[in-house]
Amino acid sequence: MDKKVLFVVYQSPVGSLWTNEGFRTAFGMYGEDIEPSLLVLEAASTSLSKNTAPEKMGLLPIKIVHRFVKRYETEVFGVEEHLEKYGVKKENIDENFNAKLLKENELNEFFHSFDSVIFM
Amino acid sequence: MALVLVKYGLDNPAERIKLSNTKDEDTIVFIQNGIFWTRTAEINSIKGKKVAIKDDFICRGYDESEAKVPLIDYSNFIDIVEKEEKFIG
Repeated sequence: MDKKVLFVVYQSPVGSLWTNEGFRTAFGMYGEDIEPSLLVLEAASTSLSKNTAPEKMGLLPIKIVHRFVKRYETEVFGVEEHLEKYGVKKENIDENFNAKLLKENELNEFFHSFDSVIFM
Repeated sequence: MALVLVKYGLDNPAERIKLSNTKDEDTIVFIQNGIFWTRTAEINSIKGKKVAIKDDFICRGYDESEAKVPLIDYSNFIDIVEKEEKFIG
């Protein structure tokens, strides 16, 4: 049975590379017997907005991960309270992530459902 | 049962989320700047078995007698790593 690994990103996607790194690391897991997922928390929640564009600052775009999310069917999660805190409206979530939204009070069981949870 | 590893200090939002989502059966190891959490008032309300790395505690200027959680050495830490099946850190 595949090992379930959750990568957690919490830093802003503009000014840090952690969102891209989180996805890149997750995609690299498919060659092993590992089932990776990715959760964005706090400022990283803005990664899910279709209006977030680090490339406007000359930085690496987040959109480059979309085709791999689709190809590998990588599960992506966000937290409703954090999206609200950082002003990401549900209607603005980029559908390419096919993100599932959790509530903060669901995180405990969610974390414990994985073999490894790695905060990046 | 999971090993929860806390290595960043009080200003880190991810560590706060980790510590808000532990279970009674988890083992929480405070290491490096995670030591600072063991000196807060909220340490007693965090669920799980809590321990801190002794070297990291002492090298930050604290005396063993001030510790609110048991202090362990790296050998004990490895034992915990080997024992726990799940990891959150």
